This record gives sequence, C-alpha cells and structure tokens, in this order.
Amino acid sequence: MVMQLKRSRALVGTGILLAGVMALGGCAATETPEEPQEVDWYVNITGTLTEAVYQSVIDDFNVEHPNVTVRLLNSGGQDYATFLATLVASGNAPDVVGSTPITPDNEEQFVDLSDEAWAQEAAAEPGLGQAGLFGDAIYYVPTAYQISGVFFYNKTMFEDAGITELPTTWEEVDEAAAALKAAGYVPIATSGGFVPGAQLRMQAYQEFMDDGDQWLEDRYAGDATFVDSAWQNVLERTQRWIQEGYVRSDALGLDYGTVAADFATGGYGMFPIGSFLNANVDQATDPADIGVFPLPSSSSDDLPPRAVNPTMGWSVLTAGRHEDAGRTLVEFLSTDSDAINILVKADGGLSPYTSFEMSPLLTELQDLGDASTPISFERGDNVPPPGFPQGVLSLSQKLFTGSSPADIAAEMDQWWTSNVGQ
Amino acid sequence: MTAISKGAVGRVSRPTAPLGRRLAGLAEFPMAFPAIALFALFELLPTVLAVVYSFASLDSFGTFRGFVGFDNYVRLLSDANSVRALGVTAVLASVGTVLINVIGVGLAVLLNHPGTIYHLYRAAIFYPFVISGLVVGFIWRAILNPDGAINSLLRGIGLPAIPFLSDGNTALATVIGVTIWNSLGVTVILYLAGLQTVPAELLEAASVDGANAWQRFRKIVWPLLGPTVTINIVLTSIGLLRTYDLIVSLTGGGGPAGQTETIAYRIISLGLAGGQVGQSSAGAVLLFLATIVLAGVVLLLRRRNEDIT
Repeated sequence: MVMQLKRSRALVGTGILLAGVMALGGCAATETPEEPQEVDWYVNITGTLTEAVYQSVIDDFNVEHPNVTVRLLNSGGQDYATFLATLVASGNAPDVVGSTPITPDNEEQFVDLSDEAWAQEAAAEPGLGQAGLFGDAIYYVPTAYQISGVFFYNKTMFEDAGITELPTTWEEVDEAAAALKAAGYVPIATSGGFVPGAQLRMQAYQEFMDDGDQWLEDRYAGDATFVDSAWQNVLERTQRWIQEGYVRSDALGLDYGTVAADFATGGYGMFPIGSFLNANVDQATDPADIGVFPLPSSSSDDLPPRAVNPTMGWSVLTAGRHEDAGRTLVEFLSTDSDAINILVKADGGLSPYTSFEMSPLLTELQDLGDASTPISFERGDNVPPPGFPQGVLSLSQKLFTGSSPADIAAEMDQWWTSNVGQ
Repeated sequence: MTAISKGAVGRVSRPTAPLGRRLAGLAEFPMAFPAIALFALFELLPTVLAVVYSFASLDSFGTFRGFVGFDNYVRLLSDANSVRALGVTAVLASVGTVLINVIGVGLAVLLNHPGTIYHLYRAAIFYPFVISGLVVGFIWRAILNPDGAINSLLRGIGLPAIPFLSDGNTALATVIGVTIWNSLGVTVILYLAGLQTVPAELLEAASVDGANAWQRFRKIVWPLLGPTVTINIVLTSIGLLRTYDLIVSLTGGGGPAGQTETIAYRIISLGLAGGQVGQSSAGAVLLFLATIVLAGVVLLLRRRNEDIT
C-alpha cells in the first residue's frame, strides 16, 4: 500500500515536471512520433497476387502507420507451406502469415487474437467470421472464401442437349449428364491428381452439412465410419458416372490444368469443382459460355449451407520477433475495406466485405455465395488429421481401377484407424 | 594367446612412416577440411537429423514435440499406401536396373566402333540424360497422355487409344520405359569406357584361335567388363530407388490411384504436403538402409566372383 502511494506520488511529480518542461519550452501540444517498428509479412505471390498488389496495400498501411516498416517475404517459387516451415525451423519466422492450415497439431505456433476487440467483432459474424474460430481462440479472421464445390456448366451444350432447367437434385444431374452424352458431349469433367479427391470431399461435406452432421468430430470419436456414410454414397455415385460413361474412363491420365483449359473452351458439359475454376474461364482466350449452379442440397433453409475454404485470413506467428507490429498489420488487413478489396479482387475470391466490379462468372458465383450460409467444414478442432488428403482422398482414384465403393470406404477406415486410432 | 601374438606380430611388422611423411599427412588435413566440412554439413548432418526425427513427433512446422520410439516406423509400415510405394519402388528398381544394363551393354557393343556416325549415335543416346527428370516427365506426359500425340495419332488412323498413363497396369510399365530412355545414356558411356580397356590383342588372338563373336564376348569381354558392370548396377539401382522427379511430372504424383507412387515420392509427400515429418524421416532412414544394403550386397557378390575367377 505504501509502495503504491509512493509510486503514484512519483508519477504525479513526473507529470508536473514534464508539463513544466513543455510549458517552459513553449512547445505546442504536438504528438511524439511513435517508435519505429518492423514487421515481416510472408505472402504467396501468384500471377494475380503480385508483389505490386501487396506493395499497394503496404503503402495504404503506411499512411495510417508510418512508423511501421513492412518487409515482404515470399517463397520464391517454392511451396508456400514448405518454405514457411523452413523459415520457422531456421529461426527466421515471419511475423504475419496467410493461407496456413491451422490444426490442433500446430496451433501453438499462432498468436491467439481473441483479446483484440476487432477480432472478436469479426468472429461474431455468422458464417465466414466463425470460420476462424478455434474453440475459444481466434488465430485469424478470413475476409474471403472459395466455395469448395459448385457445378460449372457449358450453357451452349445444355441448350443443345435440350436441358432447360438447371439440376437441383442428384437425379437431375444424372438426367442432364445422360442428355449431354446423347447429344455427343462428354458430360462431366474430372482428371487425375487432386481432382477426384476434391470432388469426393465437396459432395460428401454437402451431404453432412445438409444433415446437420459433425461427421469429422464423430469420426474422431469413433462414432462414425466412412463405410455406410455419405462418403460411400458419393463413391457409388462416381462409380455410376464412370460405368455410364459420364466421365472419361481414362481421366486419371489427364492433369487438372489441361482439363480446366479444355472445359473453359468447351470440352465438357459440367465440371463439379471449387469456385477457383473461374480464373481459368476468365483467363481463357476464347472461353465458352460458362455458368454455375450449386451442388444439390436437401436443406430446406432459405440460405442452405455451403462448404467453403476461407481465404485472405492473416495470422501472427508466436515465433516471429515483432508481435505488436504483427497484430497491427493483421488488424489492418482484416478490417480496412480498401485493403480487403485490393487483395480479394486480385485473388479472385468471394467475399461479403468487398465492392469491386466482377466478371459475369464471378458475379454468378458471388450471388451463389450470398444465397448460402458459408461453412468451413474443416476448421478449428474439426480438421482432418495430417495426411488426410494424401492418405484417404487419393483412394477415390481406385474407382477408375476397378475397386468397389464399399472396399474403398473400408480402406479409408483402415487408413484412419492406423493413423488416428478408433 | 593367439590374439596377443597376432597383435604383437602386427605391431612389430607394421612399418613406421618417416616423421616427414607423417607431418606432410597432417599438412594435408587442412586442405581436405573444406570438403569434409561441406560433406558433414550437407550429407552427414541431415542424415543424422533424419534418424533422430524418425523417432520423434514433429508438427507441420518441424517443431520437436518429443520422442515416440518406433511409432513412426510402425505407422509407415502399416500404411497400405507406403507399403505399396515400397513395392512399386522395388519393381521399378529391379526391372529398371536389369533392362538398363542389358540394353546398355548391347548398345555399347554396337557403338564400340570408330567413326563419326557412331559418335553421333552416342551423343543421341546420351542426350536424354542431360535433361532434368522433371522436364523428361512433362515431355513424355504430353506425348503419352490420353489426348497426347501418340493417342491422337492412333485415333486419327482409327485405332484404339493406349492407356499409357491412365491404367494402373500400363502406367508402371510406362514409367519404367521412360526411366530407361532417360538413364540409358550414362550407362552406355560407362560400358563404352569399359570396352575400351579390353586389350585388342586378346580379341585378335581369340579370333585367330577360331572363337566366334559370342564366344569372344562371353569369354573375354564380359569378364573384363566386371568392374564396370558392378559400378553400373550400383549406380543405376541407387538412382532408381530415389526416383522422384519423373513421378511428379509424368504421372502427376504417382497416379493412377497411387499405382506408380515410389517411396521417394511418398517420403516427400508425407513430410511436406502431409506434415508428417516423423513418418517421412522414418521412410528416408529405411530407404537409406536399403541403399546401403543393396550396394553392399552387389559389391560383395562382385568381390566373391573376382576371387573365384
């Protein structure tokens, strides 16, 4: 108590002294310049998210925070996550990072921003805001998203095949595929690589969300399996597409880039894939007339749930050296409307927070997004285990090599048991 | 008793190097130090770290989370995809090594003649080796994919397309074929160098004695090529055990359905894309041990063969 009294007296004395010095000096009430700070911002530079785009955001940031020097780091062509791991392991961790999957396995690497009022406010927004929640922690606030799965379709081919109404059920998708095939087109696009796994995942998650299931949580708890679940339903549907000739039987020999380019210029009737395909269509030199419709949903909600991948969310690394400046930068990137506009536009993402002129296809996608409840199915504690895409989803390719859906689903369960347990 | 006398004999009989030579040896060490340091930094240290990591749990950032014993090895070997990748690698390495060396010896014998045209042939065969495996994969993918040059040609003349890359049974054969095309050059050059060391007088004498071409090859050339064969088998098999880049570009990472995924690709895929650094390191250690055992067995067999002959 005595100590506190002494300290307050000392503070009062110091205040009087400072006021006296200022008065004696005749100085006006000018602000003391803030201390210079530095922050390392690790970004993913792409064909559209160029260094110039990031620099323009930094320039805006520096108008508000002239004392903070932002150093831009990029992976120099290497895989973003791999190079980040190298930076962290070598003791050169950046302060601010984006597009980094946060899992229970690595969440200690990220600063919890839940003590920031702006982060709490953003995370309270239903849908996208909540996608950054990890239990009680907030490691990032996404400002944009990509829809995990939509049907892109060729309007001209649909017209030729006599399809007047866009499919709203899986039966109608099959009918549309049959009509396209009868008209001489390849109805549904797929390829090797990540595509069969992505197509499997997007359909299964839609079914889980429609049913209000938390399948991943249940699977972790051992209360659900791949067998006799939506996974097996989707595998059976895909097998039917292969058997009916709705997809090319040699599709595994094709890569995504080739198929995407073919689709954009009129090679296929439909392409169930993530909204990121819009970039291929918009950049094609002679694009076909392409539209989108949502994955069939059994939800009766006005805004049915849609699985999304949150993007443009920024995190502060615990291993970085400038946490305070990092927090300042992340707040700016997550709340400044100009910065969000610049970055989301360049990335080709969808966002409820942006207002820039979009291509017709992106507008259709945004309308679709606005008419949905975006849900990040693989978020926070509800993320699949490490190796899930490589270990499990690649098994979906076995449909093309003759395995049955039940056998593949059983293999997925085996993988889970040996890697996760239960 | 025996041990003592052997040691005593050894000590007595071992010649002692003169002081000057020993000092010269010491002086050589600093000159070798840069090479030793680089080897230790870029080869030895990563190997030791891989062994340590293979017994540890690490997060996707590579941060150490504690030791887990043999857990990573158990998981790796109980994972059907990793076991299949080991099988694919074994087939690729064994079939590839045999074919590359058989074709390599044959071509070397055919090209072991003076003349400009033979030089041109040698250059043509060596050329693919100087192209990066990644580029080779992309080139052949463009040629062999379902809509590639060959299948477009086949369809154009009314023949059915061949599923070079889209069928599990043919894709591995395609990988082996492209690997042979890519690796043959250096093998042929080494065999040509080996053939140059066979004394011409021996072959002439055999001809005079009535030996035909096959007898000259089997009884004179082949035994003298022994060291070259050993080197080629060791180099080829180790190279094929580490096949990675061709898988990335030719089959898009082991497709279709993992039928061409090699253990080297799986190790990198587990560690980088999958964030399973521990399992990835366990795979790397197993591959390292397999390489040592393979090289050791080949060298041992070769030495025993030389002792017999």
